[in-house]
Amino acid sequence: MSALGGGSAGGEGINPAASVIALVIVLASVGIAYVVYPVALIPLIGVIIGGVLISFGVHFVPVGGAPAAMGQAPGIATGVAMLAAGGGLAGLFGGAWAAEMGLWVALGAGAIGGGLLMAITCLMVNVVYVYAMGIPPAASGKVEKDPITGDTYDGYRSQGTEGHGLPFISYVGGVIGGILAGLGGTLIYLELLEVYQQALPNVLGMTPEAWLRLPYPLQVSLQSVCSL
Amino acid sequence: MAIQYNAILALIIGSAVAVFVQGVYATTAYLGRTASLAKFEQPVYIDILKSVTTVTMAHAFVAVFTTVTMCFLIIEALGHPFPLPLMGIVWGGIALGAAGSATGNPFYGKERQYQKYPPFGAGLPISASGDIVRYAEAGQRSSLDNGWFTSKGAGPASGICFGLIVFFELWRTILFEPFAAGWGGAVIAGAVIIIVFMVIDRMVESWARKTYGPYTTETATEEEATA
Amino acid sequence: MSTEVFAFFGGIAAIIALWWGGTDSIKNLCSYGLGTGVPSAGMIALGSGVVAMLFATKLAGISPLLVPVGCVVVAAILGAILGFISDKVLNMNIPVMTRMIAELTVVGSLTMLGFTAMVAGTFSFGDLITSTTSVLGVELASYASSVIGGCVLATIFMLGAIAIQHPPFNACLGPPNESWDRTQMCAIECGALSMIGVAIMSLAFLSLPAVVISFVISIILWGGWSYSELIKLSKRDAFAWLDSQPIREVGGEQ
Repeated sequence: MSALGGGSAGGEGINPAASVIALVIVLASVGIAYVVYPVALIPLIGVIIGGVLISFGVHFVPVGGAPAAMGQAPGIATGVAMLAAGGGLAGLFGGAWAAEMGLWVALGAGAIGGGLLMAITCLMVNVVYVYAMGIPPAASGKVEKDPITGDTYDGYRSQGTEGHGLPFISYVGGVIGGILAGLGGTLIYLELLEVYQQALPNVLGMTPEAWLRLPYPLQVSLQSVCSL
Repeated sequence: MAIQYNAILALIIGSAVAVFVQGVYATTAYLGRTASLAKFEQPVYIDILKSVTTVTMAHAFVAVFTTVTMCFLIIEALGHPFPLPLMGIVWGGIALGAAGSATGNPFYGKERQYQKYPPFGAGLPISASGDIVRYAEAGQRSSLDNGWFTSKGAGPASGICFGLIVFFELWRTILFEPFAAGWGGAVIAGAVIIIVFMVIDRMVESWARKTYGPYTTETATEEEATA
Repeated sequence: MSTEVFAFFGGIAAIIALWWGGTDSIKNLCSYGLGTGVPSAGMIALGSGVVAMLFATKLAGISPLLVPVGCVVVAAILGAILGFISDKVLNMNIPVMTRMIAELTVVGSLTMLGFTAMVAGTFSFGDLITSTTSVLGVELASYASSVIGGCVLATIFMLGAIAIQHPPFNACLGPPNESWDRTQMCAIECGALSMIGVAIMSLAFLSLPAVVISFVISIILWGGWSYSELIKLSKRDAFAWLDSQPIREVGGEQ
């Protein structure tokens, strides 16, 4: 079937007209929110910033996919949806726990939570590659030299591959990606929490503990959209 | 949620339902994928369905029940505000999935499917991607062998990875949270743990570089890797 | 009790939505070489579908009949925006992208709405976020044990997402001898399987007769029809169907 419609030819720069339209859509949605419910304006901007952070963090995560599992390419041998959502939600787990300690502590806790998940996963990936699968040392096929440690990869790649394992720069990138994803996820959660705390008692007359539980469905859905 | 069941019983019933769903998905995945490959003369082996499905369901029960119990304890004993289904998605669905997939996939991919590509210690050449090993120690290799191998090699690795994540995530929060108005546990301890893991990773990496050394001399070009 | 016994119609609606979108839309999208993008497509379908669905359930205040219609309209608008952004702004340049993401979002929201209706017996927002718990004989309105507050929605999300992703990504679509009726039957089977799970979860919200009716109908749909039909179709399409035999002991010397 793939021959029917022709392949996609993506990635040749930014389409200015479409970007302007997208910007207008975003501004229009912010404007609608401001008109309909002014209190939600700041939280909405927070949610947008959180989404941008998650999307930005996704690009730091060294995803290798199936080629990494076969030892053909460097990176983590799983999909980006899994890792980004994992980092964001693990961060959210820590952030929600620290939510009553104030905004900045919760944000820090969430960010560190995402980074921790990525740090341990990346370490275990390297341990598996080195001690279990026997594809040492980590090497990348894309660059010649690790920008942080100064290791050269040229001779360490095995023949016919694009590199394997998880070089240290990818490790750092993964941790930064996890931190950004956790930060964004926690920010979305806290902003939604704020809206619900202001809005819902008037609507429903609920008890304070109940507020804590509302944002999750939206949270999960927003995060899954962002982690694309 | 008007019913007030015994929580432990509910955990077991819920895990059993999840395992049933998992088993059905396992059979349809195998049947659908293999039946679509008639062009490559790939037969459907019914004994795979008969013997592997029950084993994966047993493994799935262990995984699901322990994860759900862990989530239940995090909520009930440690007082986390999330409801149980969301906690299950965060830990069981996504974090365990990410950890298990990241550390488990290499065993299945490189170790089991491409064992005939020596030397041990080299990555798989891209030109050999589709050339998987089809014959096992006795007769044809089927998904039966992969199940044995992944449960032996990949399962413990994924388990250690996920266990470390859960342990350190809880440990840093519970033990250090009272310090420095929350900054101690939530942020500082976590950052220290991340840096420690980073150092360990660097040590593993440089140990491997020193021990195994370069495949070729540093100046050799990799362009003639088409052989 | 009353209308609760008809909750299973929500599950049937979800199956029909999955049958349409889980296979057809994803197949159209996948013909542009989007192999590993299928899980992401399923997630974006359900993820934006939840937003549309939650918005639409608010319309129940005007008239309950508006909810499904509003759900489709809101999801289509949302999906068109998302598809436009992925196609033009992110420059994926897949001609059918906008339409297919819109379709997938409609499918996702309808699946969520159907399963939510099945688990709760209602799709008005007010009923979804409150439930009554009886503590020591006193009826208390509780938020934490409702469909949304108890996060049963998250489980429905995952059941729907797997049911959308499984037929095209894991099971049928892709290899050369994929046959279309088998892929569609697989989608129906996945929907019916999710329906069983949802029927069990509805034990917490509906009266016992309603739950039993939902459960029996899901079992009939799954085991009685779609699963056995799927096995038959797989048998038809497979190269060989080899049942294992015990090793025979041959008599004589050696």
